[in-house]
Amino acid sequence: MDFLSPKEIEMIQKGILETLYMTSLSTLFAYFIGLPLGVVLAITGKGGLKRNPVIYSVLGFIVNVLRSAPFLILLVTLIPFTRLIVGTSIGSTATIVPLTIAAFPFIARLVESSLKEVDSGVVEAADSMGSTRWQIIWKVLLPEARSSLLLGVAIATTTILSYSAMAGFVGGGGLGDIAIRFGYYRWQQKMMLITVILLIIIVQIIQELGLFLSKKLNKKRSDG
Amino acid sequence: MKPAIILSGVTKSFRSKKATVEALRGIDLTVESGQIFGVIGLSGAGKSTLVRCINQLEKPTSGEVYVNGQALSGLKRSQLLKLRRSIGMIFQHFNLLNQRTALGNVRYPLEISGWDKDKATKKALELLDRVGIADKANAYPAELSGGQKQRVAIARALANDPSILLCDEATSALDPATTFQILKLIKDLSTQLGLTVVIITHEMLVVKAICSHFALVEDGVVKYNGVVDDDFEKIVFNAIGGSEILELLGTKGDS
Repeated sequence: MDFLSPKEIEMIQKGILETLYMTSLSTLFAYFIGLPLGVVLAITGKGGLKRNPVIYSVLGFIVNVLRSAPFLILLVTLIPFTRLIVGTSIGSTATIVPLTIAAFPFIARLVESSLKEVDSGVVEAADSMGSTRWQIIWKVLLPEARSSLLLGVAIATTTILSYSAMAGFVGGGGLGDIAIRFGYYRWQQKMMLITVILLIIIVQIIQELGLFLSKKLNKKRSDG
Repeated sequence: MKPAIILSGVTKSFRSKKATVEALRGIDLTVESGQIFGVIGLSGAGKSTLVRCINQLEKPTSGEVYVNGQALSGLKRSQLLKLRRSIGMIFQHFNLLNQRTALGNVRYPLEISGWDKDKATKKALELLDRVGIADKANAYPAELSGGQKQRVAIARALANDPSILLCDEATSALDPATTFQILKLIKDLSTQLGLTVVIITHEMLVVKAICSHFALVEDGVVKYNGVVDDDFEKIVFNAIGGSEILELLGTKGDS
């Protein structure tokens, strides 16, 4: 293959791995925070299991503030915090910090809306059987919402992936980094094209996988 | 023997920013143990709120509810959960867990009261057999008909061996033939297990088919309370201002 030099191929391979590494770990960490936060939002919000307008509006406010900050700005603002945690603000490991912070509020809203889709009659039935709130969360809300939650994971992952490409501007590693350094700064259109195509392929795979699993796990007909 | 359920001066109002709605305005009602008791009324009469006061899904604004002699107003949450486990409830739209099989649905109440898995499965299978759909144990609700779903719901409601079964418009989403099969099942179960059954409905035929006693609820109060006999339909029709309809139908209204 003379289209790409061995060095370029090696670089692209490394880029793919870095992108997958950043995206998957950031998604995982963002769910650690976003999932419980989404559950709390869903149960303290309107029509929730344990309504609490104070908790709901305080958490909602924090989520909205973080969500309205543009990712690039957040990325730069968080540099001192990232240094504190990882020791550096450059490279793919460092990028995981701002990615996680940027994604968890978004994920919390995704989780909240998935849980709100669960039929209130089913929750009432569980209530009538003497379920504790904890049991309703673990055994009713989350399992009943699982296919919607899974679609949410696919959406969250692809969003994080596109954020990770933006991190290339501050030396974040991954495919986005390559696109910016070679495709943009040196105007090598070949590299630009390759990275963009690779990003599209990865997004497609994640999206399709999410859809497939979500359908497979859903025992409720698609009409309801 | 103590009455299974007593409602004494129960009121319930729902407050919103705009207005206060009084759903129940002083309900007095006694259901004896083993009775099949019908609560009939038009939509919006407060029937659903009334039945939800019995298992405290709605807390009465004032008044007291007694279940098997126990007053419910002072119960701690843990006691309340225990009480709910001794009262089964079924619904108009079945409210099955869509992501669990029929068996999984019946196992749910056993799981939450701490049964071990094998025992719970065994008991759930027995219950499905009792309601006549053992062959559907591994089917998901989406694969079942309305009548089958309600059978699963009944099996689930009976899992913790309740002494009381509450039915909230349980046959309103079913066709007439299925309605009577389900009513017959409820009646048989009541006899076999000594269950006290409270049936909320807007259909007189349902009351006539299986209830021994009934209460007519209108505007949040009990308008009439008595046994289901030949005059039952006349009483209900008169109370809801439907005597003209009865005349049109040729005095007998059971078509």
